[in-house]
Amino acid sequence: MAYNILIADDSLTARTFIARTLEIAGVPVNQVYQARNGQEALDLLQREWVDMVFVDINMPVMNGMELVRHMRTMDLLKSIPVIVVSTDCSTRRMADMKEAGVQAYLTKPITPEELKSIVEQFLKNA
Amino acid sequence: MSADNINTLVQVTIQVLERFAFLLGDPPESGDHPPAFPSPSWIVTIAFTGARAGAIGMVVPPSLAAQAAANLHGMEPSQASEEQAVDAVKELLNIVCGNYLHEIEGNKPLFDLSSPAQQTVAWERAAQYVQGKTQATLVVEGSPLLLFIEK
Repeated sequence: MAYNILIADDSLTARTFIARTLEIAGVPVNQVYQARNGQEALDLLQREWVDMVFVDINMPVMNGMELVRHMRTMDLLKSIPVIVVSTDCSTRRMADMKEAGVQAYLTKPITPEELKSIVEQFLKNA
Repeated sequence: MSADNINTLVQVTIQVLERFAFLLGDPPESGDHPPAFPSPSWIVTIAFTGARAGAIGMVVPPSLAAQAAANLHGMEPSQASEEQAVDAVKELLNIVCGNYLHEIEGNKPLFDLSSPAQQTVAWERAAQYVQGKTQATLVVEGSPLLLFIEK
């Protein structure tokens, strides 16, 4: 089964890096959607089927924390796995994000092995 | 900021360059002068607040930024647009800053990072800007890269 993945990050470079890392990791991908902020991500999630979301924390308009909180209140979106990909690796931030409803937290720069492991962990039964 | 911190910044940058942008960098060999910076060059900075406030930055030749963007996007450096090159060095510095703060402060303190800023300046102006700041130079794929700590 190939997955639809959404990458939300205000940096085109970061979005491209995650997309290429998914490819290098051999993750079966049907479609990679990209969003420059949480609002764009939320709009896209209401139009397209997405299996997993990779999200940065610091983004303009709507940040990663706000995006996750919105998603967790919406029936169609609340069960989609959300993985934070951030430079911020403080234990407090990680705890805050997990409390908001994210499944896992990766620190930039991510590796193909980390990415593959996360996808397998959260999508194997999808 | 101590010499330890600039050494940490150098080591973190070398690791991030390799893992994120597929670029190999090292301090210049003892006694060797690093390559000269072209003019104009780019100054890229990022500030942080929280358990400690400060900023770090780099002076980077546009050609090296284009090489980083090309590696990240899977294209030739000549195909990388200036927008892609600027975004690449900003994201690179963002990652360096997060990893640097983790190395010097551990993972308990909370930091907020600013959006990285980039300016194109004559090399003489860049040299003037970093004068007096704690700094170190790397040689990355034959190009110079200057790292500095604001405070």
